[in-house]
Amino acid sequence: MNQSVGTLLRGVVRENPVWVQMLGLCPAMAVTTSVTNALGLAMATFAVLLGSNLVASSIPIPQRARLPALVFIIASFTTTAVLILEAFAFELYERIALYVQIIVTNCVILSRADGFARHARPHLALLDAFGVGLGFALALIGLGAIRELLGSGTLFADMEHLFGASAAHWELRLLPQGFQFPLALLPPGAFLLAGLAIALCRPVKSA
Amino acid sequence: MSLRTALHLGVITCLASFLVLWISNVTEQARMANRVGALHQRLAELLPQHLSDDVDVRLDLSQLSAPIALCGPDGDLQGLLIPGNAAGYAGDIEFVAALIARLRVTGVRVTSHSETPGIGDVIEADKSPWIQSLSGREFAATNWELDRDGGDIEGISGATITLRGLVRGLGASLAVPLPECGE
Repeated sequence: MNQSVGTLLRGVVRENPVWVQMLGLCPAMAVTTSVTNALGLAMATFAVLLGSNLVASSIPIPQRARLPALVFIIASFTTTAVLILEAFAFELYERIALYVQIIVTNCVILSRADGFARHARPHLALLDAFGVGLGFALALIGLGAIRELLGSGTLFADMEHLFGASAAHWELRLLPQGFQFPLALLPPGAFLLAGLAIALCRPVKSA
Repeated sequence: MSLRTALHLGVITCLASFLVLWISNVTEQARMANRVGALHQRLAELLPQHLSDDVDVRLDLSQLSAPIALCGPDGDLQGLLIPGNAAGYAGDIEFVAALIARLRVTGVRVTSHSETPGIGDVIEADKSPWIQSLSGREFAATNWELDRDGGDIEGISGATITLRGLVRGLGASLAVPLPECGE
């Protein structure tokens, strides 16, 4: 029981894939111009992570060809996620499909499949995927929220692209209309904010 | 040993391919419907209804590489879809212009750009009504320059370089030989 909880929580805080392990920084900075985009990519990554960890832990992977085998499994789940997004969240698909496709090369997923799931029992591999996926999602949504707030003065804009028309009024305008700080939405702003977040997470890493 | 590894890898590859194939088949209808719906919605903003209904549903506006002529039943030219690109402030701006007979512009949409968020992105129809100011103009009767350059198009301060590039690119893309009907 303790082992399960530990496996689950490890990926969220102490070994947070983005802010502590510094993996997957490219998608983390590319899509986080709004909470909606961040959440969309996080959900797709989460699904791919669950699928690839489950498969890597439950079928035998050839030791000498494990990288091609794992990359192929991850690529299949990624393609599946892209197809589902295109079928059920088309507007979001048009905005973030490029970044969802490169989940294939997201080292967070390969490192969990090769470094953990391959040697673990399926239920632990699933818990690990759940924790790491949650950690990745929290990192992305956190950065997305700060950038959206500073850059456009809103939170949860365009949620209807993700959750249908009823989500259109979820948008919160926290700063006055017309407030704009474009740096937060541009790549240099992402680097500055990500650098700050990593610095703030140093105490967690050494603790 | 290596033959076993190869077979092992082959089995995994087959299983993974079946998963993709299955999901692809299951979602095919919904994906096609989304594409067609999005295209029609975009065309409806650009062209009169009776013209947008005739456009091939497989058309991808952002991939358009050559002008398309929309022909009437008698082989007369009723409309045109013209792709073009312009030099913006931070890279190329790609756009599609729609025209009806006598080269009257009915709409222009930017399909890709890398202008500054909050400043140069006024060229997006969602962000600013500016691009509507191009509609309704006859090509030959319009001086395709910003007002501050002595032309007919009103600019927006702060986004001058972006808009100047787009307006000049638009003028240039309409000045080349255009396709005709009845070929």
